[in-house]
Order: sequence, then C-alpha cells, then structure tokens
Amino acid sequence: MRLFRLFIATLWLLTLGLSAAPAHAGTINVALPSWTKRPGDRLINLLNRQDCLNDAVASFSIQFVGVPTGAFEVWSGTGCDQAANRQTTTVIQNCVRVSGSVPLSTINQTVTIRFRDMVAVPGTTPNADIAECNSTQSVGLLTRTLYFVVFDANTQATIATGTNTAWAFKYDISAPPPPTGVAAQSGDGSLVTTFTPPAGETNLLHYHFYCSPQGPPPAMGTAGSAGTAATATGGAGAATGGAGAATGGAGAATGGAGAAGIDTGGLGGTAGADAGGLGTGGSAGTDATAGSAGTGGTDATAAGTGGTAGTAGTDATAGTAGTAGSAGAGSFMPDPNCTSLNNVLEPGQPPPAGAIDCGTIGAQGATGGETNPVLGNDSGYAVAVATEDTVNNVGVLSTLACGTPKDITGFFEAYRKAGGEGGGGYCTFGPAHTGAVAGALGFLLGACALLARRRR
Amino acid sequence: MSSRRRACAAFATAIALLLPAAAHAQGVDDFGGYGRVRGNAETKQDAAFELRIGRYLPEVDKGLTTTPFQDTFGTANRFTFGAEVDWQVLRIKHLGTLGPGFGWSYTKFSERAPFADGSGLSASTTRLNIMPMYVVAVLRADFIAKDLKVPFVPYAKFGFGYAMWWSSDGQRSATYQGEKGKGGSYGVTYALGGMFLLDVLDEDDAKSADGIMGINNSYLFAEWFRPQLDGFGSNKVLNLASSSWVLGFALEM
Repeated sequence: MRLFRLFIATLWLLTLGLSAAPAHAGTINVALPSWTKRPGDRLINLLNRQDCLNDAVASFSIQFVGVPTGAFEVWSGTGCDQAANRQTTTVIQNCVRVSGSVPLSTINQTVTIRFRDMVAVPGTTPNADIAECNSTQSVGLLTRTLYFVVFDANTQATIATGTNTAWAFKYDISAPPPPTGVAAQSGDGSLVTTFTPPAGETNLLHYHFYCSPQGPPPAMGTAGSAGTAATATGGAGAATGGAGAATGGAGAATGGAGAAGIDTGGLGGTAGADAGGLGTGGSAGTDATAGSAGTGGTDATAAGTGGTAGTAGTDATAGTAGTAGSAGAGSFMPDPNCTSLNNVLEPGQPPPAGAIDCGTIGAQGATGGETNPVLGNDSGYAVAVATEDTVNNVGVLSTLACGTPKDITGFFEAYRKAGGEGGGGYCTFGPAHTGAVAGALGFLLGACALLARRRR
Repeated sequence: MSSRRRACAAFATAIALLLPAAAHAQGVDDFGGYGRVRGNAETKQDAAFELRIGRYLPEVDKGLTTTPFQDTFGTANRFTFGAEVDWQVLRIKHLGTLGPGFGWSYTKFSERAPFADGSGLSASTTRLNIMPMYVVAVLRADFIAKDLKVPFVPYAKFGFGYAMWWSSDGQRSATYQGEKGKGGSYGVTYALGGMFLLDVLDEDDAKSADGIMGINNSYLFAEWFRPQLDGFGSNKVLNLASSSWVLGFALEM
C-alpha cells in the first residue's frame, strides 16, 4: 500500500512538472550572420549608410530543438524579447518586426533579414524600401538588437531560449555633415585649411580634403572700343560726346553711350562693370565744353583708363568721339568665390570623381589641416572638406575655399643656401678637422691611463 | 582585589607589553614600508637613472654665410627632454663610482616657413627634429656625501655623442637639389654637474625605499652640458653643438 501511494505521488509530481514546463521548453540556436551586398572589412555588426543604400542582407542560420509549437519572429529594437514591447498598442514603440512567421517544424533554417528593415522606424511596418535609409535617426552611432523570439501565439510568452537569440549591432545611416567656415591659406604645393567641426557629431573619424584647379589666371583685359562720334543735330547745336568705353580686366565691359546734349557736351561713357568693379561715368560737359571721358572699368588689379572726352560740340557740329579706354592690367588674383569653370567641386554634393584627392587628417580635435603636397605652386585651387564617421560614412562637401600654393624656403633649403653641407642621410660622415679625432682619442686614452694608475 | 580591578590591571599590563613592540615594529604592509630601519646596511648599488630636461640651442649658424637657423626658428629658448642610464661598474674607495652611461633626448623646432619670393610667412610649417644620444664615462664623486656627510655629489661625464636629425616642410620631408634633409651629427660630449642628495630630507623614507625597492639614493641635479656635435669641425655635418644647462631627477639603485 505504501509503495502504491509513493507511485501515485510520483505520477502526480511528474504531471505537475510537465504542465509547468512549456515556459522555456525548447531551444533556439542562432549563428552569427553572413552578409551579402556589404563591401568593406568592417565588423559584421557595424553598419553604415552605404550598406543601407546597397540593400545589404544578413543571413542567420537557425536551429530549432524541441520547439514543436509556437510562433517564431525576428524583431529589431530595444527590449523586444518582452512581449509588451512587441505590441502595437504600446505607447512608446521601441521595436519593429523584421521577419514574418517561420515554421518551426524544420529544425535547421536560414532566415534572411534586410538591413533596411533592421533600421526601420520602430512601430512601423518595414518594407525594405530605400526610403528607410533616409528615415530620421538620432545623430551618431546607434545601437539596436535583433531578437529571435519563439513565443506562444496566445499568451505572447517566450517559450524557447538558446544562444545568440539577441544579436546587437551598431549602425549610422546618416552621413556626417561637413565642417563649416572653411578657409585656406597658401602652403608649399598645398593649401592649409582651417574650419569649424560639425556640431553634435560624436563619432567622427577623418576629414577628407578634395581639391580642384581654378583654371588659368584671367587674361589681360582688352582695350575698350572707341566711342562713337556724335552726329550733329543742327539747330541748337546739340552734340554728343564720345563714349569713353573701356573694358576692364577679365570681365567684359562696355562703355555707355554718351547722352546727347543740347548745347552741352555729351556725357562721358560709363564703363561697364567687370570682375573688379563698376567704372564711373564722366560728368556732363557744359555748353561748348566737351563731356569728360568715362572712367574705365576696374579689373581685379588696375583700372582701365577711360576714353578721352569728345571735343566740344559746336552748333551743327558734332563732337568727336572719345578714344577708347585702355585695358586693365588683368593680373591674376584668386577667385574668392571659387566660381572657375574648371572647378568640379560643388558644396553640399558628394565628392566628385574628377576631384583631386588632397589627403586625410584625423578628426579628433582637428580644426584644420594641411592638404597633401600634390598641388602645383602658383596656380589657383579650390579645396573642400568632407567628414567621415567611424562607420566610414563620408558626407557631402563643405563650402569651398580657394588659395594659391606657393614655394616656400624651409630650414634645410635656407641652411644649404647659406653654405651648409650637412644632410643627405643618417650615415653620411664628413672629414674632421685635422687632429680633432686624434685629440679626442688621446684624451680618452689619457683618462684611462690615469684611472689604471690610480687602481694600482 | 575585585574582579573589575583585576581585569583593568590585566588590560593595562597587556597594553604596556604591546606598546614597545609596536614602537619598534618595522616591516612592509600593503601601504609600503613602515617603522625604523636599524643599522646602515644598504642594498647593492649598480646603476643610476636620470630624467633630464634642459635648454638646447644648436650652433647651426656657426660658420655659415647667413643665419638660417636663427632666421627660421628665432632665438627663443628651446628645450630637450631625455633620460640617461649609467652602469656604476666600478666603485673607487673614498672617491665615488665610475662607469659607462647611455643618454637619449629629443627636441623639435617648428615655425611657419617664409615664402620663397619674400612675400611673408606661409601657413606651412618647417621643422627640424633632433634626437641626440651619447655614450659617456660617468664619474660621481659621492665620497663627499658618504664620508663627509655633506649631501652633495659632484660629477663629470665625458664621451661620444651622435644626434639624428631630420627636417620637413609642410607635409613633406625636406630636400634641396636632390639631397635629403636628414643626417647625423657627432662629436665629443661632456658635462659637469652637482647633485643634491634628497635622502637627508627624510632618512627613514630613504631607507624604506632602499629596503623595499632597492633605491639607494635619490637626487635633484643641475648640470652644464656640452654636446659638441659638430662632426669634429667638419663642414659636412650640421653643427648641433650646444652649451647649456640641464636639470633633472636621479636615482641610484
């Protein structure tokens, strides 16, 4: 009888135990992912914007052991292993479902998940569209976790545990903004930049310099054409002074026509605006006095001389034309706006293929830096800066700065020009002054001899 | 005698017995050495180590037609930092220690380079890096401190020095007409100095340091230092000779 009661009690305990078991009955083992359409040698859990644009896909090998019932889903976010966080009714959405249900009957399966879905906005239904790559994200490197969850469809309770069921990854799908206030000064075959780092970015890695030629220096200004002689209009003796046209340096300038005067000399021609500035017009002549010449347009460096005044018009006699203004000097000055036609850099756009790679500097604490010495001296160049973050996102170009690399005289060159002959390598030796080595050796030998004598 | 009185007496006796023991206890615990070290026995002394900082203005312009170094880098004081290790292989009774030493130091000169056309200073930097090294015989006359009990140790050094140097302009190594802007300068090196023995400030600590870490003596020192790195007067060598002071901290172990 006692044995029978023990048997019944054992059976009862077993029944109780089995009924309580489903809480974590099975095991799910998830292998680390392999990626497709994801170039580069970054860690497998470090993802960037290019991965999103490329529509990179992760493949997870999953093994189900002893999981006969329930539903399996993959979620991305924070705390998605908690049933409450997977509900669409949750006030603050932290999770997004990135895979549909998978049949549990097959023990070994491969689940593919697109990176675009992994970074979809929580609470939405991801559709692997490229628009996911442009979704609003916080600045900097973000962390999410993929949760591989087997749960009871009715109670939502997790019913399987295992290895790697929560796989954390870091990502940044926003390219960092460029620095601001970029300025450039002349270096030797280089430009030395200063700038203000982008605000709020915490995961900057490098600044990249991109250069572009500004093109050849502007040509000399061409001479202005001669003013047109005024024609007499008779009667009151109106006369038109010559148009003192002038063409400034690089910019085209056209002299304004002198206005016909009535008993007055014509107005001097007004020089056209050129790259350097606006010429001023001549003042009106008085009766029987010619209008003064127009002032030539100024170019970048020198003003063109205006045409000389037309002679005074007499009654029924036209004033003669003013002579043309002389050309501006047209010497080269860097274009402060970097608007040269040869410039391929465009602020706010990605670095173009035709740009010169002018080097890279570390971003930590940098507020400027020197480009690589790959530029020609005495030619104008534009430089722009792009920022790279720690997941290798490269942002768009900054505003441009222009400058002209120039030859410098460094210490070594100055030393050599002053007659110094040192240098050439670490193993170069020169002949000593006569007796110097012998003197030094003698001193050493003497010291040793003294020491030896003292020891005796 | 009541039991309370007996207890008090026993406690007082125990304290009295323990006190002298505590006063003379000496040893090492987790916080380092404690107590007084008896006797004057020192651990064996084999080496000296110096941390050095000093003024350094090389005589580059000496013998040149102009003053390129001064024109480029100015005349302001520049400094080197470095270290020296001596092997005190020989102890001369009533004089001091003698042995070889090896020293290393480093300094850098850096300024904005002038434009070649004379139109002012560029934003590019021209630099001269110098790394002097030397092997010297070092004599430290510590008999004054040991025999006369005056905490002062004069010393002298003499030997051979070599300095690697290299120059750069902006982002590139300096060259001129195909010659690389780097080289070696060499010559004799000598120094005279004096060390103040810090042990006298706290003899107990000094003895603890000896017992625990094997540090026999610690010093502050000042030195006149002459690395005559002019290639023994050769024109083919950048003249990096200098004559200046050095300050530092030294340990003998």
